[in-house]
Amino acid sequence: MKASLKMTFPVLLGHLPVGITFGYMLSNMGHDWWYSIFFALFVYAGAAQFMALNLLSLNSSIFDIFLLTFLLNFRHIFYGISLVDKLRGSLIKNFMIIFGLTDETYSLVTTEISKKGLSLKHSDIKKISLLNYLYWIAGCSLGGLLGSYIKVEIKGLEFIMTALFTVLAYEQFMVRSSYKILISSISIGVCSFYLFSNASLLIAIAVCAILLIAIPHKKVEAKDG
Amino acid sequence: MDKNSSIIIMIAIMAAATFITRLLPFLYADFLKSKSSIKKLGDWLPLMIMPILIIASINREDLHNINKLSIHLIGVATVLCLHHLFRKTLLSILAGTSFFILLQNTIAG
Repeated sequence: MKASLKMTFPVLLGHLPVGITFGYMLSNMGHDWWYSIFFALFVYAGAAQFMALNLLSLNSSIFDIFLLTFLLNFRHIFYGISLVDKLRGSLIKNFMIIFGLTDETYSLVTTEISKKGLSLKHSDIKKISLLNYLYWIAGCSLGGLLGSYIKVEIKGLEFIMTALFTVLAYEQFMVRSSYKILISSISIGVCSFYLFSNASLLIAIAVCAILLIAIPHKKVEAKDG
Repeated sequence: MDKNSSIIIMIAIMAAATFITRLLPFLYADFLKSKSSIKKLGDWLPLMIMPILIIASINREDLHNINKLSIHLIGVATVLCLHHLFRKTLLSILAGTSFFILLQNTIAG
């Protein structure tokens, strides 16, 4: 448990401020604070929850809400695909991991799989997933409560998520070094975020997936650095 | 529809849409496992996704502000250097973030 706590600590530091921000904003829109808990418990998707704040103020239709959430979270399909042959056992056994497959959990879990390979225990993956989920619930609830009483501002602390992804990128690169892959990914990311506004994350990840499937296996495996 | 029932319906729909994206690959696991392209995705997608998540984690307005963007780039470079030198995840993240907060509150104002 100690190892899982240590590993997920950066996510705690990221989920708390972001969750607090979400809960705070929702409460400030005039909703009861415990709706933040429901969002965290059932939706459990950071980007989608922030989109929900916009959708609430726009009075969006049920169809719009479903489609936008599905598209925004479509990247999870690629996460799942890349984990399918690594998670053994039934859907029920893997429920927590599947339900909790966020950007952060996926990043931590894949990094651990790359490092430890088959020696990584199923229960360790589940612990990572559960802890991240609890951090998010804690953050959103706290934010909701704070939002109904006081005003807080945390400036610059959101960089923790950027720093976490930077470290994870470094670790992934140590396991599988390919400058071709790295440079393509950065180029796709930059183009996508400057060209498309709302669907940029989805488009960037979809382009990466298509590119990986399209290029021959040997070209990817050939080390170029 | 009143405010409370519309937010409950919204949570239900968003929960369903999100869960579907996470569950689909596992429902068709047997089919997916037989594909060699899936192995390629599993092997290389994590490395491709990390830099994109780095970009995605930066506030959209900051991406269009050259000063703020520079501070983010310096922050990312600092984290990379620290991690390359010491290979201690928490140190890299906490020291990098502290440095970023310092820069943002002094230079960017």
